[in-house]
Amino acid sequence: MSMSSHPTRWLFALPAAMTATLVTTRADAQEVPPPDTSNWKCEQCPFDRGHRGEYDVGASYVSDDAARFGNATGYDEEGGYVVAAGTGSYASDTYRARWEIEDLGVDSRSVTLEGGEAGTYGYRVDYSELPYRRYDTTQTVFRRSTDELLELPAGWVAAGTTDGFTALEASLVDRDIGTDRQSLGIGGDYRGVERVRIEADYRRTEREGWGLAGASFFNSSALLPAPIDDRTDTASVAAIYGDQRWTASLSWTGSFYDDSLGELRWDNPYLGGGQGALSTAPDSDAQTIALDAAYRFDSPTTVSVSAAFGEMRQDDMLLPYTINSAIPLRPLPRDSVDAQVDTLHVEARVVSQPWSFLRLRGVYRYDDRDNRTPVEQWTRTITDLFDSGEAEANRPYSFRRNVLELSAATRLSRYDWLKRFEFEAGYDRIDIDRSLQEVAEGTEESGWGRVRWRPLPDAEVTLRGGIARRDPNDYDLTVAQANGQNPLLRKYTLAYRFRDFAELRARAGWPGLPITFGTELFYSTTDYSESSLGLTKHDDRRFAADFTWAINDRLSTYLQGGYADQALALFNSESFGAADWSSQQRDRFRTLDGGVRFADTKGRFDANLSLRYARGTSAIDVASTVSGAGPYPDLQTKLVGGELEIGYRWSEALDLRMALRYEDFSSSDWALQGVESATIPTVLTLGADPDDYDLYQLTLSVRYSFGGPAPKAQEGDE
Amino acid sequence: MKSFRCSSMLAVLAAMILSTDARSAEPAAEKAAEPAAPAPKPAYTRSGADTCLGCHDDAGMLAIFRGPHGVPSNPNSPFGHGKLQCEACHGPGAAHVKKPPSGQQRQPVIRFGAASQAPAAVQNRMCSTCHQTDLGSGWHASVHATDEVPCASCHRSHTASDPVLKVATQPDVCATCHSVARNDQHRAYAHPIDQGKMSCTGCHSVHKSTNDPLLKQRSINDTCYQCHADKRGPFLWEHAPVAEDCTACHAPHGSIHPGMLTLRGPMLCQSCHSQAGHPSMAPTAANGLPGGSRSQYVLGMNCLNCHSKVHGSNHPSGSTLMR
Repeated sequence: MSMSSHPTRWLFALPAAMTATLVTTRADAQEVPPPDTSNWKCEQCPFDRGHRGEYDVGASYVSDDAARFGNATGYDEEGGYVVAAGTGSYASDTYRARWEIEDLGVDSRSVTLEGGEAGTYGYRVDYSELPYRRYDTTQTVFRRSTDELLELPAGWVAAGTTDGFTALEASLVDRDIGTDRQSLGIGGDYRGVERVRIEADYRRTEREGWGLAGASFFNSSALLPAPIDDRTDTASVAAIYGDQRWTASLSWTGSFYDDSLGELRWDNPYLGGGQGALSTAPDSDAQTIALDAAYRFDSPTTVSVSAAFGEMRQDDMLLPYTINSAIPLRPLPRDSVDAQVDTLHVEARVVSQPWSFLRLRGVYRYDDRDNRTPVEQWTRTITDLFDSGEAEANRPYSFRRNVLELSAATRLSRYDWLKRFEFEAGYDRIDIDRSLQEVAEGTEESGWGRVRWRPLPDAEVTLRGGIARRDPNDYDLTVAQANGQNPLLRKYTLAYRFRDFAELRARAGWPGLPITFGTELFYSTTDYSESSLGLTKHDDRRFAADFTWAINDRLSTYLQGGYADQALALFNSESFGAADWSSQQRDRFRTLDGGVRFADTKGRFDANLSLRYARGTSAIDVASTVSGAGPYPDLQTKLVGGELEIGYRWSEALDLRMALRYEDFSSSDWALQGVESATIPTVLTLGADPDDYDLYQLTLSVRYSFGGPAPKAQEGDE
Repeated sequence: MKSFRCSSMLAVLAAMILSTDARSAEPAAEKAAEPAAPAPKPAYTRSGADTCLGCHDDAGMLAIFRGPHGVPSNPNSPFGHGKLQCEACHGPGAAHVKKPPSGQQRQPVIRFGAASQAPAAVQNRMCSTCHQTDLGSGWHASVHATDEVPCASCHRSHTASDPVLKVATQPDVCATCHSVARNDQHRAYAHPIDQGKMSCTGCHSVHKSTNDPLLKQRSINDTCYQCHADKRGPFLWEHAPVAEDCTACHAPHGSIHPGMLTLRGPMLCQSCHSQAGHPSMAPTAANGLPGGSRSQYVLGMNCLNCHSKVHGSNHPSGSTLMR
């Protein structure tokens, strides 16, 4: 084509250039004619057949009681435990199954079975338990006489303050705080239709145990060991379609919560007697129907949309205003709340690379929480003691949020050194409308930039930084004053704030050597500069680094650690005027992990040594022009621990294994330290102590393996 | 005419630049993956896996036959009937099999992982050929996809059991890049991830999520309600920030404060509450601690000594969250 011969021919150059770009971009997708695989017998392929298994049986001993050590593990008491665990599989020509058993001898046991016909259907059944151990040093005077009633013992002597409870010491009984969670799940999927998958899951989770609840009569209270007995049923069904262009899914999810206890009553330990009643979490259900779809164009451009319609409901019968028979019982405006919240989440995303050097991304998201709970007038009784005398309306909270995110990234390849960089910039905007809050409309905008450098395939450095500003259109003081708030206070979830942030990530592998190094630094400063009272500043700095080295094919080592530093400043006023006191809190956290692993696949021994150190401190200082000044003692947590595991291959089928674990945890918490049951004049506590233990755990077990050589999971030459 | 010629030449020049950019747009790594001149026509091996296993028969390589990729009865598996076996993922291997001329390197096949010379887009295209329904509609616009994270950065196929799919080992895989989040898990009050009883995908969905934090559910709160449905309500008396965003008060990756709170009480509550009377009283150490006035606003559970229904109350007299 002669560019000089026709005035319009240059118009064809641009689309030709774009076509050339697209064609060239797609040039790597050379079509290769498929081979004749009729002779591809795979005679050397060791397909899995029959049973395989690896089972551990043994015993473990823990040297001391420690609730925290047993949290989630089940090893909370001194003594012996049975060790039983294992994995296994079965494979036939068409059917496969795998199972895994963990910690069968302790309260964190789990069993999982999954299987099916690959490519046609699959199923999964799992059962697990999760112990939550909060305190094992707590004592209470309350006895659970019925499911919903905590009573004082016979002979209890009431008093105006806790130091008058003369029968306290004789009445205390041990009551650990914690729960046991049991979960049973059944699920499966069907893939018998090409490009379509149908999924279904059901799970029941039951929780039983003791929690904590503060229960008050006006300004005197007792911390109760609150019984917990609830269950949650969740179910989901989804149909998913996927091919090279389209992905689409239609799904339904349901969650049904049931609390066995409708209320919790307790005897008033203070003068005045009587009983109080706390509500428990209401039975509720939540269901969501969602449609998600994505389409991939050639350019390459991907468009995805999703819409999820949800509804949360609860309609429990309401308790009366009071159970105090001395107060005339007033009728409730309704027997049940008939609470309903409708939710809507809609999102659209476009990611496009119209030219190879430019990538564009746009996201729009809409979230809607529409609380349709009926509003009534309620004349409450104050802590089962006396009527408030005032009617007040419940305040169903709703919000709508619009989010817009736009970004563009470019990779310039004019020069060799430049083509390894990617430059990206973005703009985000959030608009949120809230009901019944001090800020009815608010907007947050942020701008950010990012540079990504890839000097090598296995090395990358990313630097990202930006600023964000949240601007409430108006802080409605009539709402604040209706709630009795100081007009100078600005809630940090609503207030004007300015934030600047930066983040650095770097990761590299040493060329030719099996060493990797990574680091991550994060920094943000948030100023609530228009807040005279409330949170005024929040600084957050975090650093993490890790190093791994596969020294040879048997020995590897790792080291990782980090530091975090968070500072917050808060102002408030005792005089309901301008700020007359402030609080500074600084939280710091340091952690260091390291380990060495030795695995001689041709020899008899393997060993693994790991060490951990983690230390957190929180320094709080409160200064008041009215009440004086002075720092709190630092809140501290410190963990020092390690584990040594050694395995000896006695024979092809038998391994002898030993694991020795040591853990030293200490903490100091001024909210608990020295706070016995009657330390606080107006609060009868459970006398919990801060966690502090120093113990070891020794586990000896035998591992039996069968079903052929068990290839170790390795970094295969993929 | 002269100006027309100039603009035409500029247009041609632009076309050349754009084409050049297109060809070299993938980092130099893709160039390295391309064979040295002259480039042979891609072709498959003569015998498929039997050819590959002639050299690549170590235990790590053979572990694929214990996993879902090595199931011959699965018509969709690389080793299903009529499928391309090793070359389904690694691409045509005939050139790789041929002994290279003296002084030249063997032609590579597609390798997988962060250290691979093949760009992430090339690697991921091989995986997505079969795993479209697993990716879901959220993947292609998600941050992992736009940041060109190869599937093989997280997944292992030459293994009986992919570590990222196991609860106990998944956090170590995610921590390869997300080391700050990993460190947060070591704080004194955190989800049971260090104990091996919960993993990152308890809350996050890397493939299918349609929101920025890559959460399993549509919002932060819906994700938390999966396990904490007792906090869901809806309650007669709501605590508005609770209903909007659990992370207004909680740090889900871990905190040094009980309950994974971001700030110790009563100061956390006093960030938003300033009513006359006890809500705005200064919680000074001298007045609060056991050696001082032993304040109920500071010790024990501070504000929650009385206001225990902080997540919401369904009691007709519960407007102050005390019942």
